[in-house]
Amino acid sequence: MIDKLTTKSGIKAILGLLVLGSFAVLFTFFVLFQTFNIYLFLVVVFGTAIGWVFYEDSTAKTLLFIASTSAGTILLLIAVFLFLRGFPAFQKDPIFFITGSEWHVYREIYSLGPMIWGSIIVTFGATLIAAPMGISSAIFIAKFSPEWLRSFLKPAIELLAGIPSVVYGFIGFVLLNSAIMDYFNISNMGQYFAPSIILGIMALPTIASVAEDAIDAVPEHMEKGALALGVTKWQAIKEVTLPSASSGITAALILGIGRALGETMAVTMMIGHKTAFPSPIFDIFEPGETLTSLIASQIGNASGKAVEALMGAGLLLFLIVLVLSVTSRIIQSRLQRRFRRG
Amino acid sequence: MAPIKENISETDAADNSLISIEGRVMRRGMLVLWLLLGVVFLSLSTLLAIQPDFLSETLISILGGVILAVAGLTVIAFKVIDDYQPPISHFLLSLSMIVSSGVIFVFFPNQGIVLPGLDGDITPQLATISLFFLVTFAAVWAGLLFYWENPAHNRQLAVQYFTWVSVLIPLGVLAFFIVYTILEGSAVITWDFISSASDLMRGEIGIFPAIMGTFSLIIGATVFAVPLGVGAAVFLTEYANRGWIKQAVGVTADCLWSTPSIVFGLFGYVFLVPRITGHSTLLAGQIILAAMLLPLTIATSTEAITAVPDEFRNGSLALGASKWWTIRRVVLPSSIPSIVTGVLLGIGRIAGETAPIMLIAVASHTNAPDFFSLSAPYFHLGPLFSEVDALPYRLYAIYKAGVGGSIQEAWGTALVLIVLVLLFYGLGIIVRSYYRRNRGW
Amino acid sequence: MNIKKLAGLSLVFMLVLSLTSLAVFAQGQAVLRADGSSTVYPIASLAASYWNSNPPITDSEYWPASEYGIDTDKSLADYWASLYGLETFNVAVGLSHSGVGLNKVAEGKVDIGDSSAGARFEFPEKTEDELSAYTAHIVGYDRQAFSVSKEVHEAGCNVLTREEIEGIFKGEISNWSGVHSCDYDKEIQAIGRAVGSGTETMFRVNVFGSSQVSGLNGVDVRYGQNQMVQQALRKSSNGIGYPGIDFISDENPAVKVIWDDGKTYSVEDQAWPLGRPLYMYTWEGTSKTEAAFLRMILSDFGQSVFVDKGTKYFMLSEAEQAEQLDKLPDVE
Repeated sequence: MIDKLTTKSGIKAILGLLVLGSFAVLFTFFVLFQTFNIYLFLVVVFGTAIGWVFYEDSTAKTLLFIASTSAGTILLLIAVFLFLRGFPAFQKDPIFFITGSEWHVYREIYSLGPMIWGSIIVTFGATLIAAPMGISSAIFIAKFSPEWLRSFLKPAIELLAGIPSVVYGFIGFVLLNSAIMDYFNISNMGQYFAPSIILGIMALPTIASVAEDAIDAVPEHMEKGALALGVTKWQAIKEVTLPSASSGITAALILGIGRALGETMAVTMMIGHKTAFPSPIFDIFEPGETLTSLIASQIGNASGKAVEALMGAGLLLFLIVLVLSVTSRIIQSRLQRRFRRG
Repeated sequence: MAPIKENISETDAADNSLISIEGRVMRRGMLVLWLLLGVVFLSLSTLLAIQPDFLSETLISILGGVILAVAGLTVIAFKVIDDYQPPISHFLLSLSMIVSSGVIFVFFPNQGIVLPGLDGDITPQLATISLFFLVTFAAVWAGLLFYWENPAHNRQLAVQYFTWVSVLIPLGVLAFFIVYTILEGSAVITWDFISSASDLMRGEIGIFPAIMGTFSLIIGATVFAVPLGVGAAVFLTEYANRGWIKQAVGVTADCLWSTPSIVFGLFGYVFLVPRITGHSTLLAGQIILAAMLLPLTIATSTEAITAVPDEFRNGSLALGASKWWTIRRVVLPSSIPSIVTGVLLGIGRIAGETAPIMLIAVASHTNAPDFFSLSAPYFHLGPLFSEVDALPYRLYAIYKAGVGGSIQEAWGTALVLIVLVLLFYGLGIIVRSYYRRNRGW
Repeated sequence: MNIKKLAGLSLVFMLVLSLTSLAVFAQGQAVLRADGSSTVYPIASLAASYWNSNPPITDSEYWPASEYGIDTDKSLADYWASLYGLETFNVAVGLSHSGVGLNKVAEGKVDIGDSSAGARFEFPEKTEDELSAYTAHIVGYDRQAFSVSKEVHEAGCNVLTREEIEGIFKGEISNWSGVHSCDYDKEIQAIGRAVGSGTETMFRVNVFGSSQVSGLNGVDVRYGQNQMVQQALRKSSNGIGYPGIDFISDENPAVKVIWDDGKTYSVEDQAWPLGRPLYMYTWEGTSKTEAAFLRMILSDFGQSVFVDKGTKYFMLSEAEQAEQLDKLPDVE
């Protein structure tokens, strides 16, 4: 037995067990018991160092494996902790929490109805603006623009996506809010209309880039084949290219919707923070609140029950966006199979 | 892709006979007329910039609106009568329309025109911009009208114009935002502003701690996210190149990428903060930003590593090198440029994030993190465990409560932030195009 | 193994050991934390700024010790800290609202909770026992003003009766033309404060008699801080709000009120009916660090520089000042 242990693979196994074991314990303790044992940490680090010096290949492979689990671990942790802290808010009366129309911190009545409605309105408005323009832009960049223009337009659109949302919110607040208040002669600042516009501008580059990639990826020979039959370029695009790229375009749309739904700072800075349904309910010039702006504006000042309710809102938001993400993937693969895109 | 002009002449050689001599003259005439008007208007605007009292502001605005309307109608006429023109003319036309609107907006911000019969007044920039959009809308409408009534060729022209306008609107908005921020914010940017901290006592405003804080956050996030992301990508492409594992990680990365930033903030608040020190820390911010950067690094690295041709790997393995050696010395070095690009673009995104760090890392009126000092110990990690300031948070704080500045300083902070983000993005794009051209494979 | 690997190994060893020790033994600088009311914030943040800048005795513009009868050669913060035998420390002031400040100081998250409403008004449901742990320190006085947008004031609406104020915020009066003093046909935008802010609490107590009033349907929008109320008033042409007096300006002037006794009061009057003390609460007594900072604010120097000259608030009277200084632990 001792002989087996002292062979090279034996030592490797012991070292690996020691390091991985310590790492697992360290991580579990960190997550569960909020402690960070420095000694275990040192064991892990030095164990890895020794492993690297002597068994570089295997150590590297193990490290890389751990790295590949990182994204999944983080997502899992987020889901678990949001659930732990946010589910209690749903427990007592889930229907009321989701559909009720009152949110009073002082009286400790929490329900997300107005915020969900707000998120829907704002996302809908944003999509109205972003989807047509985004997809048309994608078509232009991918199909109608000359090469030199294309290499300028693509980065420019990405740049639009890169401007921080606080800047959008700030500019929107300073320019749009007062302009709309004057121009449309409404009596208050911070309605649903202005954030929808800004969100549309923010979601547009997402939709445009992904759709452009999708359209561009359709093999040229399909289009050329149609052109050879004598149709115009647009006819070829309309009948051949776009349907083939439909999976990508749908993905782009859903990504854009997800972006608009999850956008926080721009909305928080521009909206009127009134946690009640607008009356009449379709009045987009009334102040309101979305899920994201609710959390962002109240979390700093909340304590006790309020934090729980806000966590519940966060959980709901996370789930909705998760569902959208997964749905987009499913639709993508279905459409991909249908149109047999390369 | 072949230039469009070529394509058109290929497909509608037959249609050329439909375009009359008169049409051609009218087209050329309108082009000249439009260019003249554009020149006149732009020079008027310039003169006004130099000498504001040159002409009545209201008159200028109305004139501008009329010019733009004519320009727009010209464009419609263009489309209706003429053969397709290369994008340069469209580009110039539309660019001038946007520039003109921008000039009016910027130079006459507060002047009102009283329109008879209307309650209150409308400012000229709104009038002009409304006219611009009205004209565009009319052009699109006219174009679409021709869509059903005319041969396929004209339908294509209509679509081309429509999509062209679709691209210009967001770009126009982008240009407008950037120019406006520069104009409003540059007055505040002095060396003191950038290099010193705010001092309420002396009434000075400075964003140096915010700049340093943002840099610390970025560096920390990169240190955490890049090894993990590249490592994951390497593992996926080199060791476990099976469909379902890649799918799983891909879906996870996707979900992580689309998670709202406030949810990351909440997560940091309930998970990280209690486990680090119980109050806001720089470290918590770095970790959460790394989590946000991770999906991008995984995706970019995967793309980069997959793009390395198999010949490289096979050659190395054939020479007797181990798999890991091949990865380390052959695959990774070739993919570093793409990885760097991806990271730079990702940094551009997280540099501007506020929601996550709002709850877990920032506080107002903190000093720049002092990792290095002139006295012993020369380097210490203490600042990791205290609060930092950050540029996007500064902007938010000024907007919210006038903390740390007036609206002027807010514009200045926004400008610095935009410049920073643009720098990273620009760097990323430059690196990407440079290596694409010089790749050799 | 070869020398290179051994060298590399020991290098890693030393690097990691030093980094971990640096992290583990990192001493964050001691910080006194305050948070809470946006009304008190101007005083607290100005004081904190002076404290952190720690101007030397030679800087007579910012540390005019001799003018206030203080004989020392220490810098500002050093002096006040030394009264309690303390080393210098930093002060960090957060901005939220009164309710948050009071909660945080009770939970130990901050040392000082700023509040513009007394704890018993903020927490009417708590018993005397529960409230006894809140140690109140009054640092100044505010007059809660009613401020309107500039256009409203220019249109002549610059006097309101108590009934009109109640009506506006209850939603009974929705147009400026309904106010007796003006003839301005525009919808009223009533701007409130977030529930839980001291300003909101004191507004309800002062105008409606209790913080538990319901039916305030006229409020169009609620903001978390006074600063945002001021900004909203400046940017609109039809707004009315009730920020602290430090948030009145030419672009959002104050209006006069006709109160229960039929008299007209302006914010400049001593007898303004909506006065309120500004608190900095500590929890379960006052520690030395807290006392050092508070003593500076309560001193003649502090009152003059931070309250009188630094803001539009009002200093404590001599009697009040003595009373508040008494509450602090004795100097050493």
